[in-house]
Amino acid sequence: MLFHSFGFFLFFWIVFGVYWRLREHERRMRWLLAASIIFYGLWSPWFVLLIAFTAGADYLIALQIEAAAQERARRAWLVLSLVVSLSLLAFFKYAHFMLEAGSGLLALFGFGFVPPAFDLVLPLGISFYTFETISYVVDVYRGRVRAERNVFHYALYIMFFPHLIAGPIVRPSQFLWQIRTRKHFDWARLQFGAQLFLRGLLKKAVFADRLALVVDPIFRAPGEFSSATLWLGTVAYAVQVYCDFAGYTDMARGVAQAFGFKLPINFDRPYLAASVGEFWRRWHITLSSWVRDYLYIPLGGSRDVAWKTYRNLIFSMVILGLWHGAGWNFIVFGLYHGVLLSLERAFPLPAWTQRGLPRLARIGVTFTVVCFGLVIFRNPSLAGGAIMLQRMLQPLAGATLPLSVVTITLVIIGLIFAGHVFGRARLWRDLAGRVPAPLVGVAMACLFLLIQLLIPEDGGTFIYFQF
Amino acid sequence: MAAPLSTSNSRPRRTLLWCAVALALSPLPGGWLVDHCPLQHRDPEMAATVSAWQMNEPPPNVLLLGSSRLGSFLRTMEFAQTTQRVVGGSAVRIFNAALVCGEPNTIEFLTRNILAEKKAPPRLAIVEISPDLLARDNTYFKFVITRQLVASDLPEYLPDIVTSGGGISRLAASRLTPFFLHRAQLLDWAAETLGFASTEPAPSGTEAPVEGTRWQAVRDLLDHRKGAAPQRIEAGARRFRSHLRNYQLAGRTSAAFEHTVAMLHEAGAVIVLVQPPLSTAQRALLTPEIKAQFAPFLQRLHSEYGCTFADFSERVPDDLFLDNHHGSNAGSAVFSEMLAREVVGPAWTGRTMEVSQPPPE
Repeated sequence: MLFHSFGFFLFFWIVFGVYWRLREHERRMRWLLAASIIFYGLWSPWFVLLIAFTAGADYLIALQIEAAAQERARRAWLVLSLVVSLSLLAFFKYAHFMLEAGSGLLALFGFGFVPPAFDLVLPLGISFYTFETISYVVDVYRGRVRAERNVFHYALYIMFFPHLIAGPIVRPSQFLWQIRTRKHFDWARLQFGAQLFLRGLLKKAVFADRLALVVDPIFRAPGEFSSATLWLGTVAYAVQVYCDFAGYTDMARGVAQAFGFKLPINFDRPYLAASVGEFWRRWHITLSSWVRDYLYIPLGGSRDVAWKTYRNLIFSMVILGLWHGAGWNFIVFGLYHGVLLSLERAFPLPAWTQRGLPRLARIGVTFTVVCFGLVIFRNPSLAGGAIMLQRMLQPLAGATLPLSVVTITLVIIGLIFAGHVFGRARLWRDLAGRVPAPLVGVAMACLFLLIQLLIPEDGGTFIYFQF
Repeated sequence: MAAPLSTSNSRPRRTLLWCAVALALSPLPGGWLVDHCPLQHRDPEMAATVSAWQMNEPPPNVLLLGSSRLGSFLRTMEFAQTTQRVVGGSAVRIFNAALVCGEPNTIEFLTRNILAEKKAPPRLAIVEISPDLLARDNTYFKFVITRQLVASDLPEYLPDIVTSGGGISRLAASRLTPFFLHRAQLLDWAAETLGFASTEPAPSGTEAPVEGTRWQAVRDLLDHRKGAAPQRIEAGARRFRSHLRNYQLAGRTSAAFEHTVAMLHEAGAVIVLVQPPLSTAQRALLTPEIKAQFAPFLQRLHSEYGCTFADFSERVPDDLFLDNHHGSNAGSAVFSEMLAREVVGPAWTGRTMEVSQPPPE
């Protein structure tokens, strides 16, 4: 069920209405859990059992970790949890890729091996909830959170429908206390949630889906388009993927606010980053911080000699790339970012480049290298990505887009960059406080109607659902 | 937008209430806009057909009316040439006005628009007829809501909308969320009014009719759908099954068909009702009960308007279909030849048609 569908609209109002009619806190939480199970079950009832198994196993293991007196036992339970979670993720997401890669490797040594043909359906959200269960068990192991005794609370932490399918990846320390805290209906929170949802809807249903109409044909046949069109397509894709995922996150955060929950921010104007490191502190923050805290730092982080830091960076980024999917393009994408991060660490720029025009230049360079990475990311074959990059760097003639399409694309790109620059300006907050409430209300309604009007006829699903 | 949460609940409550009120009232201006949306934006295919009729000089004298069944089974150019040969060089000028999802209510609307033009009416009208498309709950009835219905039509159409599959939800979407359901139409209109070209690509199969190429494009589109033709035949027929379960040849749809015939009759056209080819799976849906309602209807059209009836439903084998009721390139060549030789030629020259049957008693 997509957030921007009529089905979700009905689902939300039913869940919302019943939720606030219930008086007891525990009943509300159980109702939310039931709604979350229905939300996921509408896509595939069988995969609810898979989440139940993963979450159930980790729930029990976390209790065992806390109860175990000896470090060896605690560590054994942790390893068991990681094996269970990562095996399921590997099976559903990477089995086919690993078999194909293995077959290719064996062929190099003259062994013929044809991997069995099977068509596995990737359980929706598996990458997101697996990382959440891992962070829970690891945090219990580290003693950062106490193991949750209430199985319903724990299940709701994993299955809370706004973040279940495409994040943000929530840490137990960010969410479990919220489940325990009694909720009070708050109009201000509801208004804030509605505004977040509208902002997300605008990004996803209007900007991302409209840009998809431009981006998809360009990436389908990059060899046919002129270099300028490929540049436009790449920048449009950068904006599309941002609007798609940041839009989803905004909607998820807005829906969560309506139930009195707060989900973490996942994007902080990422294209204003002046370095690749800063980019990853602004882009898919909950994933990059997860990789930092549960992979990069445990590997040793930057505590040891330089080459070990670079190794840790590259390895962490390759895993981050692989998290997005089983494909060489994702591995190369991770590798590319890992190398860039290592280079930034090896050759730090002076502090004065962080201000004024030099900073502007750094933003431009960072955006360009991020765009190159996205070309690799978006092309399922490495050859396709290479052709596209080659044509972008070597001015070539080819097919172009109609002027009206170019204009609309540039307008959307311009609006998103303007949003990056001015979106956090104090002026808006001051203005919003001074404008009479009826006017703000009518403006919100008008924005909603305008979004409806501008949704393209063949709007698609969310890009991050495939991860 | 990311304003900090206010400590007072009064302002956000008023804001959200005003928002809700504005949204609740939005169907009024939205509905008004939809009702006043010009035809070229509301239904570009129909507008293009009317405009082509208007621009055709000298005026066409044979008018073909029907759905994509008839359209896909006709190769207009070859059909016109064969007809010319059959009638011996007479000035027969064919106009194929078949529409995608052209069920009787749509055809009635189109005929009204065509006859409203200050042109000589057609001498011969070939009108597609089929029991399944005459069903009160016909498969395409819900599209009428999007392409032509205005608020003042509601009292007349409402009983049929209520009983048709998917009608209520589409009406609700059309009238309660007009800015969403009719967004392509309204945007097109706005773009034209503001002097911008539309950026929305025309949906396939609804581009302006260009003789000989338009239905070819539709056939190509249908041919590139998923699955082989036999599977598409089965799947397509399945879509009709639920609509024919409680078959009623009554209500707005059959009235619209009769009104179309009456308008053509009044304009002085000779009317031939043609049942286009149907696949075996589609024909199997037409039970004896359905046929029992269809026969007296045909009889009445014959006695009141002098319509003759030509049944081609069993004349084309299944391997010449793209799905349950659309013809392949080969199928359209076969049917065009048959229609020209067996229906249009004789009807034009006043001879008795070879396949025409007196409507069953």
